[in-house]
Amino acid sequence: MPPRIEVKKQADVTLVLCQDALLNDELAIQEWGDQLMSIVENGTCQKLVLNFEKVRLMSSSALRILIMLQKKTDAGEIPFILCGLRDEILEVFKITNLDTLFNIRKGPEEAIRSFPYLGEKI
Amino acid sequence: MSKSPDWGWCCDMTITGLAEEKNRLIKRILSEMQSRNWSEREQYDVHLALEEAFSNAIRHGNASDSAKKIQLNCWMMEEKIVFEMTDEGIGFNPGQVPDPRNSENLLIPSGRGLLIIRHVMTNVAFSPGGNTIYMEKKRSAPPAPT
Repeated sequence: MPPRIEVKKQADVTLVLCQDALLNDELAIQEWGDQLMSIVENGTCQKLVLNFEKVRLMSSSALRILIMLQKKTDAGEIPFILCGLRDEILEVFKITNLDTLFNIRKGPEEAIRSFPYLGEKI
Repeated sequence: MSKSPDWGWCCDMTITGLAEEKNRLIKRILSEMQSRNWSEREQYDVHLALEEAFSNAIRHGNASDSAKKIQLNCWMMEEKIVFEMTDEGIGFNPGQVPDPRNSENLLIPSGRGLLIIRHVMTNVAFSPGGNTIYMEKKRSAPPAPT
């Protein structure tokens, strides 16, 4: 399975950079989703930032994965933020009302700054 | 695929659910749009709509059965581009798809493709049986002179 994400740690934040420019193929999205889920499931992730700055197009199949990831992070009480979304992709979040479900920030620095202090919840 | 004097460019393709086939076809359509000076945003809108329509046809229409085919007809004119996509499924009633924007449906993972298609395309319609989708994108401004 090719790496669909690049993972870095910055203090207690897990920064995930999505590698595919097009999140459009079912198989690739499934692999991407499996790699994202494993980060949350391995028990070491305390705060999660998902950076989409390389992504030019995202289909609703990718949104499906993000909704499942949101449920998983909610269950694990892991603060989870999306960032780096291009205007066209952000528009998709807005027309589907998913901008009300996800915590969305402009870039990774703003995302990290917006995390609550230890003990607080977003 | 062929050139048509009346329609500018048209194609009539049958593909399976293989991503390579789908991607090759979409790339060809976007290339034809680019050569006719459609804007980047219009190309993005058509790309997204085709991805969503293919995804629906493969997953919901053909139930991911690789033996089943998808037929795509495309007509590209100066002022608009029209698609007709048919799968081999039993069809559906678009009026019965729950609105994914409602708060009670927000956490349901699927059901957003149709909403996205309707947003990015100018006109969207279905055959009475529901297994053919018609999509039209009108050009927002006259093509730039070459």
